[in-house]
Amino acid sequence: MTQEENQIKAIAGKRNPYKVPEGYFEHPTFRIPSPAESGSRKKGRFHSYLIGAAAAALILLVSLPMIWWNHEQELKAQEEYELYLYSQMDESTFYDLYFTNY
Amino acid sequence: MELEEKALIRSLQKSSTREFAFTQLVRKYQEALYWHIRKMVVVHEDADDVLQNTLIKAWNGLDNFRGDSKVSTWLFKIATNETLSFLAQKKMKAAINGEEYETELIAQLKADSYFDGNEAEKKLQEAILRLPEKQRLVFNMKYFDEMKYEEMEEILGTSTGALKASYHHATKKIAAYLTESV
Repeated sequence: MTQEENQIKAIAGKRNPYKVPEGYFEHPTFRIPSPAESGSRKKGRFHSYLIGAAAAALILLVSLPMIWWNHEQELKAQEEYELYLYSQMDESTFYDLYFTNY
Repeated sequence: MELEEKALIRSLQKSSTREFAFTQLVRKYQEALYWHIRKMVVVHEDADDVLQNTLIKAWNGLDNFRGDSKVSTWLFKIATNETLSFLAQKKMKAAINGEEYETELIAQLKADSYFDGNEAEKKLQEAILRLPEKQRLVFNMKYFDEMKYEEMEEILGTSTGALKASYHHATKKIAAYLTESV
């Protein structure tokens, strides 16, 4: 035993100072979980995985048409912008643009 | 390994005798496990909760227990892990509220109706609660339970050298705290 251990022992001893409610160890509260309880726990975990997968599929289903629609809108806007530019050009500019660059 | 221990492991592995063997196991070790947990979490209700979780984890994990270590070592390992994760959760909650969990534990000790220690014993517990968790575990297991370093090594997954160093630091800090406050 080290010097420090001896010191601690001399001052405070080695007794366990905690106590428990009367009869705590005589009437244990633990009971073995029934198979149904274990089953429901497993089922619960599987259930949460299933919900997660369904949510992911739903998000994908909703977002895919939106992405496609956005893309279509962008193309349409680009087309409209080009048409607008052409409409603003006079005949000679239009002629120059097409016959000098291409 | 003792014959009795071997028979117990065989009974735990057989589905027909598993329930009976586990009940015997709980009867044999629940008190030691409870005190191992209680000295760390202080409050009886918390110790009871952690003990219940330990036993449920042990029951659910019986298929994974191959008998490589003693049953008691395996149970103490689960109890230690459960205790440490309980303390980590409590610490996190205390940090969110801007408090220190160690201070809270000392306050709980002072208010605990299931504590019948004298002033010196209370001081000793206060000193222990001021130690880092691993040192607290090592100190309790060595000083109060007189556990061998080899067994502690298996339970805590720390080398004997590191455990000895940890115990040495713990006793120095505690002795200093006690002599200062006397």
